[in-house]
Amino acid sequence: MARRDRDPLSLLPLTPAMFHVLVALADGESHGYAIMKEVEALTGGGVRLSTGTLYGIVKRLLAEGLIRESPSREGEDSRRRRYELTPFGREVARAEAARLEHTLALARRKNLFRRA
Amino acid sequence: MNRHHGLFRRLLRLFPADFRGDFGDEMADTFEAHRRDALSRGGAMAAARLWWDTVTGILRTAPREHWDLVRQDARYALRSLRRSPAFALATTAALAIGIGANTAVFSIVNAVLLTAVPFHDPARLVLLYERVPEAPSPFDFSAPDYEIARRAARSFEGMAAYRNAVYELSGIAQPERIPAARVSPGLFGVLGVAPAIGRALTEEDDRQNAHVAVLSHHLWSRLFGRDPSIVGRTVTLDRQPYTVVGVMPAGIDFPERGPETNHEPADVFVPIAFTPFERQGFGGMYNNTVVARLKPGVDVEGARAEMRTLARTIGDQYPPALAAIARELDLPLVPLTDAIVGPSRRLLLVLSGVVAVVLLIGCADVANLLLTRTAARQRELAVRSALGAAPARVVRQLLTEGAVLASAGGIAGLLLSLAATRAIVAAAGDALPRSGTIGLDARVAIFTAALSLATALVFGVVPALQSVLGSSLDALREGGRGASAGRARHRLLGLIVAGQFALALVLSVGAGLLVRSFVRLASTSPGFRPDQVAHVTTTLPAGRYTTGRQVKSFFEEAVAMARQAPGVSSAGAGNDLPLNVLERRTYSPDPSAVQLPPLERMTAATWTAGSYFEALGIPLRRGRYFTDADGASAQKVVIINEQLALRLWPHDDPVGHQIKWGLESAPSPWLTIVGVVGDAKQGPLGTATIAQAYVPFLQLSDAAAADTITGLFRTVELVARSGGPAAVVLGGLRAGLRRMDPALPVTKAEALTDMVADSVRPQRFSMTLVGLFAAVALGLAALGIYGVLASAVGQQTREIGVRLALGAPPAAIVWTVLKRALALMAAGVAIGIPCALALTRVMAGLLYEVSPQDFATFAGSAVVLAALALAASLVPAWRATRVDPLTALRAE
Repeated sequence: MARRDRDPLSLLPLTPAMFHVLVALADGESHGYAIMKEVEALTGGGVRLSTGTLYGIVKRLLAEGLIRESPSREGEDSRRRRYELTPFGREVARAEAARLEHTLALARRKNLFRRA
Repeated sequence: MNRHHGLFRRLLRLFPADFRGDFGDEMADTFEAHRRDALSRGGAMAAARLWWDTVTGILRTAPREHWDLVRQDARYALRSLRRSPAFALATTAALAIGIGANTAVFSIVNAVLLTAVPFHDPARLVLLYERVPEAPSPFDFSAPDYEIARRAARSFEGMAAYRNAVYELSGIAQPERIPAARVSPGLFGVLGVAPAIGRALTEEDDRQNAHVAVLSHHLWSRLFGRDPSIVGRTVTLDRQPYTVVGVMPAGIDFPERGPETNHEPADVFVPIAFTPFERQGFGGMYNNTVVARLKPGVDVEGARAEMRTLARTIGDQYPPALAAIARELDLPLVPLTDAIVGPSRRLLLVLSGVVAVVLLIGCADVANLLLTRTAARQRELAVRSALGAAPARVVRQLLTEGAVLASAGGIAGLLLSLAATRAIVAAAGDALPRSGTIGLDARVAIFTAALSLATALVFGVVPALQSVLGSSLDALREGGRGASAGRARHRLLGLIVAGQFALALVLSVGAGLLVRSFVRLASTSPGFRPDQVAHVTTTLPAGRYTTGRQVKSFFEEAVAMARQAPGVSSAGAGNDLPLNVLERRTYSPDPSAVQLPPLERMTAATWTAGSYFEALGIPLRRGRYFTDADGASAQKVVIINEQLALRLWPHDDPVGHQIKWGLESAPSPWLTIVGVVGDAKQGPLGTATIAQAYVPFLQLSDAAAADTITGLFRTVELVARSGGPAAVVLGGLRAGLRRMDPALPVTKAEALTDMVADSVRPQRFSMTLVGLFAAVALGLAALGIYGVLASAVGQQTREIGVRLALGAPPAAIVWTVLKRALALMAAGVAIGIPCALALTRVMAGLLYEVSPQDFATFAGSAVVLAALALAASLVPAWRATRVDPLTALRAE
């Protein structure tokens, strides 16, 4: 149930874990364990989702219409569901990235990084 | 599948079933893949770390999933409740009443029974009394006995004596009588209470009988605006200057209410400073309450054992003439907390039970309403289950609805309880100890919250069960008119209503017993006629009325003044009045009387002036009343009551015989009996009347009249009988006293009937409260039966229509409805009577001359219940006869 009429900004800010899951799905559909590995790789091992946390997030992202289940392939184990970003989910992820970028820019302007 | 898989599956149970259903398999799969990966790359250590992360992750996320579900259910419940406001209102009201009543009573129980008295380590504080076997109850300590006990007892860290007094506080805008306590210097130490400002009373104060005072926090706030500079200033007590040396901390009421004597919270504390006369006074003036703190490691039993030995030590010090008393002396000991809360414990427990029953009946109402509503929603629920909601999910939804209702009821109930608590405390007056501390605190709030949740379970579970047991598929198939499901539901509804009636019967029997007991109590003759009698009290301060002559003149002049007051037909005064005669004396009769052992020769005594008996309406049986001729220089005379006459001269006219105070050897003068009067009660209406003697006040010795130790003769109880309402005379009496001494505060000015009513205040309090709750319970039960019958009539519209169409007379239809009501009621009575028989036994101690199994009360309650059931069924019955056969049939 993608909700196209909704403003992506209404869901911001996302929790870091949620954002990472969306980012992990940006290149295409993936299943649970692959998402966990991808998140870990993307963050250089900095963020390690536990199984419980991951599926809590998956449930919420599904409910909000940010991701959806991909149609299952022929002869595949039905327990291995795969998920993909919805267009709305992609918008939300982009909006969150922009928000983070803006925040970063603010920090840079404030000489946060140049001080010895 | 391996061991790890099984373990992980078990962990998943921490999630809600829905979540598990959606993601369980997938999560297990993911975990397994992850684990194998970790094992191959990092070995056992990595696998162990994965387990750790997984377990903590689940422990973090599972509660959140549950919470999400609760929120979702609550939103759904609120939406569906908003669609039926009448239902929401009725249930919330029923719950608010039940929860409110319970919270109110719990606030009181919490403050009185559950919260420790505000002294240091109160479990180690005990009160000591003295007792002889023949005395009806233990009495307080005399000064010499206390001194011996304090020196000799080894079980205690400290021991202190105190007694209530009343002082006139003047030098302020309006002089007033304030409750006071004369206390021995160790009292504050024994209690473990330090003054908020200034100092406590010292040994030095006591030795010098110094005019120093410690104020209560309450008085300090009320009259001195919490001005700290009060310490060192002077206040005027009984027209004598006292230096304020300290102020008690807030929240300390001492003496606490509850014990039988010396239980008036004091506003000012002064040294007890026993006089030499008091210290020598073996065998008399038992008027000091003794409080002691047990040494660590000594328990109450240990202390009791020591007190038995100590009683011998004290008895040995008594003069030989009192050997009879000394031999029998015993020193009972009561934990302070028991003495304070003991007397009200039974009432509070009964009240707790009563409100619990009210809540149960309210819950049953709500369950009934929910059940009827669930029936109407059967289709909706069936659709939800058909769409894949697990039965557990539907039950969870119904329980959440219950919780939402209970929370609304709980909040409304809490608000209701604030008002109810205030009303109950006001109605209780002095009947409840520690009433100043009653209020809302964290414990009460937690109690209400827990109660609300518990009620949600009680009434929410019934429709939930029904929804699981009553086959949901049937409902779907039959378009929501499942005949068998309907019958099952009505059986359940009927069962609940019968249960409600049983509970209501228990309460109305309880209330009925208290009402009957109260009526019997209130109709007990006090032995005098209180109608049309005005009563004014004042006390003569030692600083102004120093000699006995002055005290006696005041009595004489007060009577003369009252006789002159407009409308007064007879007036008199006494040092006390019936219903509150505290003085007890040993006497000896002349040899013509039946000779009783000294311990049985105890009589109540009152000193009277003017036409005391005529004004009070105490009837004369023989001889004459006192006259103004019975003055100081005339023959010493006495009037006795019938009890005393019967004990001493059962076959003879006592008039002309003599008695004297004390034992035979006492040097007191013989008093000639001039009259016998009817028995007037010395204590509250429920108590037994004892022997009593009356003596003319003017024949009292000057020394005795001036006494300030007990202040026995300084209280002036002025009574005046008139031809009209007492209130008319009161103004004249007040004005007259003001003319005699403008600075003298009048403590009391009331119709004597009010004093009689006051003496049954505790009983009236319990009757009113239980009666009120029973009435509420009956109302809630009536609501229950109304709801069930209305729903039954609604359900049977078609059947009724058919019967009407076939020519059944309306009376037959009405009978069908009434029959059901009566059957339910009869079932309720059948269950309720044995329950009531079992439960009312607890109330025996609260009843006066009424058996807890009183037949009339049981029968009366059953009749009230039947009438109520009929009244509640009238509207549904009437509605049944209004069913239009055509409409009913067409609706199919």
